[in-house]
Amino acid sequence: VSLDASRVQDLSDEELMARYARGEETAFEVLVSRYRKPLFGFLARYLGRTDKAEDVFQEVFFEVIRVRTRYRPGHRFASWLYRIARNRAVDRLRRNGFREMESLDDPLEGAGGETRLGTIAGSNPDPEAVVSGGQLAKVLDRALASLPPEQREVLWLKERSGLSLSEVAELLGVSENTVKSRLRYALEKVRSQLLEHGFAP
Amino acid sequence: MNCKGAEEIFIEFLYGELDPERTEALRAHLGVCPACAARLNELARVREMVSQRPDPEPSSLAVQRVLAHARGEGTVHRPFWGLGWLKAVIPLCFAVIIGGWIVFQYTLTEQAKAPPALRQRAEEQTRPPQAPLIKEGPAPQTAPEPEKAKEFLPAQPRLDETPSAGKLGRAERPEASSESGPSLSPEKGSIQEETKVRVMPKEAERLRAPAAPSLIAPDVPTEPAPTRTTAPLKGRQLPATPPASDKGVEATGRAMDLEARPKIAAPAPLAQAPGVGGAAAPSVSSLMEEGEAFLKAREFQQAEEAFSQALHRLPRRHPDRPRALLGLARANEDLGRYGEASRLYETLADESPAHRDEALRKVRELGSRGD
Repeated sequence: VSLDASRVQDLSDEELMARYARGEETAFEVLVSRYRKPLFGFLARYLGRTDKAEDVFQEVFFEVIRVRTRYRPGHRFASWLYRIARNRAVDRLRRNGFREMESLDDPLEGAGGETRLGTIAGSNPDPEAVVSGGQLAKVLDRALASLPPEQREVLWLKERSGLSLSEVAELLGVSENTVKSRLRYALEKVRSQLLEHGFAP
Repeated sequence: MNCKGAEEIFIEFLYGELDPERTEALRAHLGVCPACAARLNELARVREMVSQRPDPEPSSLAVQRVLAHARGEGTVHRPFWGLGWLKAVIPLCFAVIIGGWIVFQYTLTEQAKAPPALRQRAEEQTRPPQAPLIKEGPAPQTAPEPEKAKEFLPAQPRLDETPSAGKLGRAERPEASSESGPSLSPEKGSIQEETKVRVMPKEAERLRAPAAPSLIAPDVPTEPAPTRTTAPLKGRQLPATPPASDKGVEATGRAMDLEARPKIAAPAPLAQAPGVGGAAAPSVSSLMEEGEAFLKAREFQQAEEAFSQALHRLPRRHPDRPRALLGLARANEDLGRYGEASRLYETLADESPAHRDEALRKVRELGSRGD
């Protein structure tokens, strides 16, 4: 029995994944549409480059496809998905020796020399950035990108996965207190960089 | 609650995970501690800004690839396309392809051991058509030759009977071509016409040599190989004109460029018509043969193009897909595109159980090399 589109849209992630594991491709498409943006957001922010994020994004879903029958329906889908994503991203960063995070002004892939920061800031609808002519956005992005990988990882996982602090801790294999302190350090560091550039949060 | 206790629960509060009881306690503390209130307020603003920063989005191509991948995988689970069927056929295909490849490599290696003899033979074959080019029955050998070379060089007249045959023959060869080819189809003729303007004289001559009646004969061990010295390697002349013959023209011209050419890697693949049909577009099999030849010639860019085209035309689940994937992965790897290569090896691992272990090993290996 095939469900109509609206009903599929209403299903939980876990139910969708279970259906996909049984061969229902529509369920997978709904999952991709749900996680396309947040997952890519996490990857792009964590990896610092959209071209690498694009690679890993595909790898993550290819992995989901490959191991779909191993998904346990009782397990939270977002945890499972972001665990795969995080592992892939860590591999990618290791492979690149973190060097890609060195320069925040690395040109975006195919972006005609425009910098990643410039691009993101330029497309920013945030009123804060409009008020400050995009400068705040630039400083903010630079501060975020300069965070140590383990802080960046926790920060963007928490922001873009929808997982709880304890779920993030479990995913990363660290204590919840570690997650909280990394988040705290990350926010503090961003705050101090904003202050350094004259932006009072 | 004191300041230390309050700070310990800032994060939970900021991310909405503080239970109501402790939230109330925190509020009570903030009411009496402006420093903590200001601190928390700043962190809350930072968190809000972070949260609201727009992210770049994946390209639609990436999303489409993912969805296409899922669709392809999904077919595996349809009852009609049972996995058992694939499991049986794919390894078989590869056993045949790889077996043929190994045999072919061996024969080429053996053949390469005797270039001077082959050269002489080739010179012999270029003498005028009036001369007894093809003789029935065995002829005396000029000099001892390695066994393999004999196999490829059917009976020939003595070398010293036609000392200056080469140049003369070249001029007159075109006459011989159309009449003497036993089964030259019009299409093939036209391909040869098209080809000759792009290839070296010797190559052109080879192409014009009396054509082979048994182009796809399974017992013909060699095919003409692409020559890196001729410019249009990408051109279709490579797979389009294998003048394999059982009539003594086997080695004509071919030996002349023995050193320059890369080896053709595989015999005609299982599921494809050989690329000699004269159609305008090259067959998938000839594309892959080209690709493999380019790989051997270390022309990875061209190999990549050939395999890309081949892969593009192979539907999912086609038994030749793994071969194309493997070729494309190798080309990308050699081009230093480790990310792409790794992805291709992964796809290969997905699609072909026979290649899974090796492909995954490559993925791991590439993982340690970096981009």
